[in-house]
Amino acid sequence: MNDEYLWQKTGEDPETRRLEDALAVFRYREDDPPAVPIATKPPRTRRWRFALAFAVPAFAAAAVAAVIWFPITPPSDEVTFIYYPEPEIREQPVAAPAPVTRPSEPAKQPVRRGEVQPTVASLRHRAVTRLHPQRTGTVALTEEERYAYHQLMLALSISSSKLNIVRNTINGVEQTDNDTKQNDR
Amino acid sequence: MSNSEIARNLFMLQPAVGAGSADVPEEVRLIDRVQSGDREAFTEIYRMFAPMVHGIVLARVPHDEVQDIVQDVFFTAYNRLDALRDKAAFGAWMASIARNRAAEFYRQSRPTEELTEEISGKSRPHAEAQEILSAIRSLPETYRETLVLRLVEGMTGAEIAERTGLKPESVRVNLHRGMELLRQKLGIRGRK
Repeated sequence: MNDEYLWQKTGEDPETRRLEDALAVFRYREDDPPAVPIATKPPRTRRWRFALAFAVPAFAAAAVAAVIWFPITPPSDEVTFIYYPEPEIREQPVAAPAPVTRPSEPAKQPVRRGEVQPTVASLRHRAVTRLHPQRTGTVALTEEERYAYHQLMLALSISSSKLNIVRNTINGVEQTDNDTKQNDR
Repeated sequence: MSNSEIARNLFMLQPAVGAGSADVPEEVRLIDRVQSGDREAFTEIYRMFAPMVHGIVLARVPHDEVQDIVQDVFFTAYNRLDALRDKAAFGAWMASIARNRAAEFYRQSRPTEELTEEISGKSRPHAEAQEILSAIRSLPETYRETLVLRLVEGMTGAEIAERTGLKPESVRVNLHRGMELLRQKLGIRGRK
């Protein structure tokens, strides 16, 4: 086998030449390119896609936050202002300078038993409980909230139907493959 | 180092075949022209890359289907040209579209048999050619594609490397090993 002939068609290699001649019947024959639209689109900027990549998740997050927030927000006509005093800041008792008997042991802060510091979550929970003392399954929604809710449900149903179509298509393809295999047997 | 080796190395260092200028490859300038609406530039790209696409597809699908798929590959490439990030890698990009389209052909179609000459009523390629092509198609994919581009499309090793984006060294190895395997398949005794 002549490697140079195989690489750049220089020199002689009758065997390779014979294969080339035989396979020439399959060679590409020049034809016209496919018809394409004359007016091409101007190159799209990637900046738009980049912004869209951030805008879509942000919008989705905002929609989810809105859906979570609406049920616990009181209707506009029932707004009640409740004053919750700031939790008292307990003054730490100033420890008297202890006699330096054990230098290795750190000075301990006095701890009052049974006292729990209020957190933001607990304060919020208390507020919600007071505003809606008997929360049942029904929530009064404003017109705007109802519209948002319906829009969300519509979007979910469209997504669901599209997923169903995809699933049916996949099942159909698998079924076709199975049929083919059975026919082959 | 022998003279032939020096000559081979010099050959490998030569600029790309068909390069119009020293800096910008021909295909990059053509792509720019296509994107600005020049239809002639698309025709030039087609003439330049059609044999490569034809070879890649022929290495995978029946001969009767190849021409349609080649057209389809170029149409797809034209529509997705904006998605091409590195214009200098256009050949490799086209090759990947062609491979994907050939794979898609088998996913979409039911298994078929090519008609015999008597049934189809039109002249079929020579039986020997069909036998050789079948032997090439039975080789591993790495060698199959390179051998079709060399033996069927008549491209040199350097042209194959340039068009497909493969390294010249890889193409050389694929050609050599592929030919060895093909000779074994066809029962041709190797000669040194």
